[in-house]
Amino acid sequence: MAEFTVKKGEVNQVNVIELSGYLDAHTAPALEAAFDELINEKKFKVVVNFEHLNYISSAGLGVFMAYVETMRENKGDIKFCCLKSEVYNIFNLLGFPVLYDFFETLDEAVRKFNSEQA
Amino acid sequence: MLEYFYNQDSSVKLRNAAIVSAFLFLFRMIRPSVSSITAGFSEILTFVVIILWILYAEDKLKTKKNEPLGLVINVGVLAASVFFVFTLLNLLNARYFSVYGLQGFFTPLFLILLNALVIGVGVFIFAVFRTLYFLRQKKDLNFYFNVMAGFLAVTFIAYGVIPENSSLASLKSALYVVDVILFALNSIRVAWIAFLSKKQKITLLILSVMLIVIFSLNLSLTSPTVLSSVSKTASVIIVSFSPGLHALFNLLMLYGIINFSIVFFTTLFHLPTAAAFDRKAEEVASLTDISKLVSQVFDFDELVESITKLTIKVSESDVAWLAIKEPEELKIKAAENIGAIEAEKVTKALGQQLQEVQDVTVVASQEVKIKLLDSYRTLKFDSITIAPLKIHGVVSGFLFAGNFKKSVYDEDDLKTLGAFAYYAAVALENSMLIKESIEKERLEKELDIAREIQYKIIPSEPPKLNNLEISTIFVPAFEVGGDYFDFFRPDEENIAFIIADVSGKGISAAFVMAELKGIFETLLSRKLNPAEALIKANKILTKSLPAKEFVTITFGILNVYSGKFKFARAGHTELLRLTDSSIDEYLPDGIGVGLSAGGKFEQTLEEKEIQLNEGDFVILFTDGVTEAQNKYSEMFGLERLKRTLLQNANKNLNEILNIVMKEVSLFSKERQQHDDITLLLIKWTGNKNLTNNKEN
Repeated sequence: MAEFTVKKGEVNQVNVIELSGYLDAHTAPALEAAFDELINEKKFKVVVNFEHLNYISSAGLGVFMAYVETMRENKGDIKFCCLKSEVYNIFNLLGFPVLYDFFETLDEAVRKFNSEQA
Repeated sequence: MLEYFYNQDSSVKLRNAAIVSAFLFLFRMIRPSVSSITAGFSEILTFVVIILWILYAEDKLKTKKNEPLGLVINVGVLAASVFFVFTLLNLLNARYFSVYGLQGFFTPLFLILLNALVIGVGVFIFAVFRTLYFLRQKKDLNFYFNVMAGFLAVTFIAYGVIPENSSLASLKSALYVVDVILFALNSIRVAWIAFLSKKQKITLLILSVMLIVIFSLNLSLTSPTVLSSVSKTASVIIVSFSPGLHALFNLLMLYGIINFSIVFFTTLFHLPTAAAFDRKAEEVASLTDISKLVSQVFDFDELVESITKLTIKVSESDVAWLAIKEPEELKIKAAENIGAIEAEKVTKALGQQLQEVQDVTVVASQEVKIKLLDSYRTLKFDSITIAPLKIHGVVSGFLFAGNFKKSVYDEDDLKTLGAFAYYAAVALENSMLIKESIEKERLEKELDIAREIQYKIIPSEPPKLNNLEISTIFVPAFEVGGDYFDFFRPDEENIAFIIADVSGKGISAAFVMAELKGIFETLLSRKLNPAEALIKANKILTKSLPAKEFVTITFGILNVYSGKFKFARAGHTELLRLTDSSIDEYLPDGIGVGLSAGGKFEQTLEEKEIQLNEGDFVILFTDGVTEAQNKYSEMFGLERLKRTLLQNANKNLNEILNIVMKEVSLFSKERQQHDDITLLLIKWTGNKNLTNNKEN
């Protein structure tokens, strides 16, 4: 099983969380910690890059549900990009695309944030 | 023979002593003044009485040996009472009690009672001396003491039976001298003094002076060379009863003077080191306390509190606190005589120094400015001693002991604190391990209970209907899992079924399942369409679901006569329809329950209606089937499921279920099943009732 990692970065004043590996009930706390840090730093615009994520369980999905309200209340959002088709399928079954923005590339997601600001 | 009496029970000793005493009493009442023949008999009887009472008294004193000062005070009071009684007697006309005219009843009775007092006090004093003598002694000193006691006994007999004018009279003086020498030799056994606290030693110093005075007064009472009227009165009264008793009491007083003189000087010399001795004793006691804590207290909070309290005792510091390393920072877990916030500031101020602490370290004069609310306070420490809490070489936290007053720590103090910190670390580690294992057990128990609830909520047998064949399989996973399915009969014509997957686990997931069952049971009586029912269910459940939990549901209603099938999907997996030659998947729009509190759920939910043909299967499943993984982390997937179903479309329901499950478990055999697996197969066999009706 691939190790789960969370990397934080920034592109054009938009925060990027890069995930890799396997996101489930055991690894979700690491992602939660990353979101907590961002909220502490008053950073509410987040793109989650799924390029290297192989699997997400319901506990992993729950993390985004728990934090999206806070981000949106502070004029931010959580947007998703670069999902593998199997991972996108899981989101799609649940109806996430109705509630969240999904993008093919990181660039598009960041651009969307910047255009919202303007 | 003495040994035999010595080993008797306390009550037997008391009985023996009382019997012989009563005998002596009667004898002396009948014969107040003794002739030379009866004198010997009376003397031996008195001797036996004394021995028996000593045996009894020693037994009684065994329970008191932890309070040597109490014993010493008792000796003083009793000895003083003897002097007091005889002095009083002398003041009242002593001549009245002249031994040369012992007549009547009361005079001899009074004299016997006076002597009984002397015997009683003498016995008690001797027993106390013996108890103190052996107190805290490691060596076997029985021999030395017994020699002295033996000589005392011989002296008693000698004084009792040898008349004053006999040629052997000088033997008495010789024995007397030997006794005094033995007293002096035995008086150096005062080990118990060392174990008294400083305060007790000061008390003992005063007590021994008082005792020496009292003993001296008593000695003068019984001394033939002192010719005061009191001493005459006393001597006459005691000698006329028993010359041996007179000599013994005299010697005991002498022994007391010698013994307490030595006690006085020994105590005096011990006084300068008393404080240091106290401290050592305290350290030992604290280490004992903590080793008790290690084995008895498993509650973490209680433990850190006790450890911090004991730190003050061990290090003789003003304040103490305990900090445990947590992922981000040091967390103060307990503080004594200092506020937790203050302790935290001081710890922060020590900052970088802590990183290097591997052994007990003393940081000299530390000043920490503390801002509390709007006022500033400065804590001026003369020193702060830091002891690392180390387990297997890893520092897990620190014990801090702060002193405001001038204080000096020597090598021994630091070693003691180090040992203390080691025990503390072990105790804390144990308590944490126990806490973890209790927590783990609790979780397992919770999962067990949740699983039990799940089994009770899920129908054990699918319903049996004329136009329908239903087969189900449910395989719970060990850890996660919140699969639920159920069948309802809203009316005779329709059957409703639900399949759901609750995110989350344990009791909370089981609770949501129970809620689901209740909600749908109620909604169905109101003849709602699948979409309407799901919208209502979403409204109710969104309120009770935690922010990060959700439920996926597919809910359908099938008309068993017409084969008309209506269903709606809330975030759940695809619904499949299998015919002889094809397999279709349906994925009408619909987001999971609990995902959105706004109107998105209603807006997007789509209801689908399909017409089943005779022999069609409807297949519902949870993601436990499609997300089952093999060792390469590949998923079983929808395509594989569809293919398997299609290949076996002509088989009966149970066979199909078994084949699918076999495929899934073969595929994922290298991996532990990590989610519940549920599969429902519903075959509409066509309207037989209707056909039958037509035929008739």
